[in-house]
Amino acid sequence: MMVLVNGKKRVIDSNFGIIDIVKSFKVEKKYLAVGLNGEFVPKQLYSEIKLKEGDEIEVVSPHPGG
Amino acid sequence: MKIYNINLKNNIIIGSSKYSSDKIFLKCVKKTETEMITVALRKIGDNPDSFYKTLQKTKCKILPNTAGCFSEKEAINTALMSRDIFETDLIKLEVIQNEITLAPSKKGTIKAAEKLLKLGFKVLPYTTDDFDFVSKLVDVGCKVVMPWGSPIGTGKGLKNIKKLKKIRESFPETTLIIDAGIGRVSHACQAIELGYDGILLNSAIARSEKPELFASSILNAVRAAEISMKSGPIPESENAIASTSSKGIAFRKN
Repeated sequence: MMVLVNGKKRVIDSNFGIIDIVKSFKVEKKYLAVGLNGEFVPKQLYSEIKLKEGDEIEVVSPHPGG
Repeated sequence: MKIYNINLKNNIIIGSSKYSSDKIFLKCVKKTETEMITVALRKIGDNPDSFYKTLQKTKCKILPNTAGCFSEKEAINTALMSRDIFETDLIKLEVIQNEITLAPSKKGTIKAAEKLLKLGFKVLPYTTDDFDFVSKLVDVGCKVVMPWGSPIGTGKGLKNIKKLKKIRESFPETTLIIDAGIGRVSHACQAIELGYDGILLNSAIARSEKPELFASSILNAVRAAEISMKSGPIPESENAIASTSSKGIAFRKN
């Protein structure tokens, strides 16, 4: 099925969850945060939430800022 | 200065953006002796852990921002994500109204501040020098408010001294920090002379030709202004007051 990760199309297995998207970035999860369809997803829910067709996942990390 | 329950010895907060390298950024952190650094969140890129590790080297407290957020919803989501990463309740709240002036939205900022406070955040909102804007944020429970001197990155300094002075005098219990517009050390001195608790700056240091030198000068300026204010400077007078006695001038009959 197709989902959007940071605005880019990604084809994933139908049993994929947030945790699988997080793992794909190959970085410890403490360095990133996740949003799903416009809502923040706390780290403790990564393993519980399964994805569905068309879901929009945002993955962010620290960036220089003023 | 006091940031909610945190007491900082130093009253300079610096941004982490626009430095030509992490090495120069780290040197500027040292030169300003800052204890608090602002950071942002953006879509994940290459080496997402490297900037975080640089931040850790500073040993400073992290003040995540909601820079670039145009709505209350965006700002709240960014704050929640920041808390998730940095494990801090601190949030520099920016809800921008205008893309060109980067002026904050009064309505959006106040609404977001109210919600974030309820969610347990320690909110440091960025505002203009509008009295009512600041007043409403104090009313909803913000212990720190950060009025601009002038628009972000302009380096124009404190454009409206009278308004900033009125804000300071009206909210003696609130920690007030001049955020944005600082471009010269004289602007930092003015902020302290007005009785503001501190300054927040980024571009002035990072975009200067020699950031380390500017960082050092800012610390010296703030210290000088603090010492000076403790000395009890003379009040301003509308009329000239001669410093030399006019009595006993040669050939004058008095």
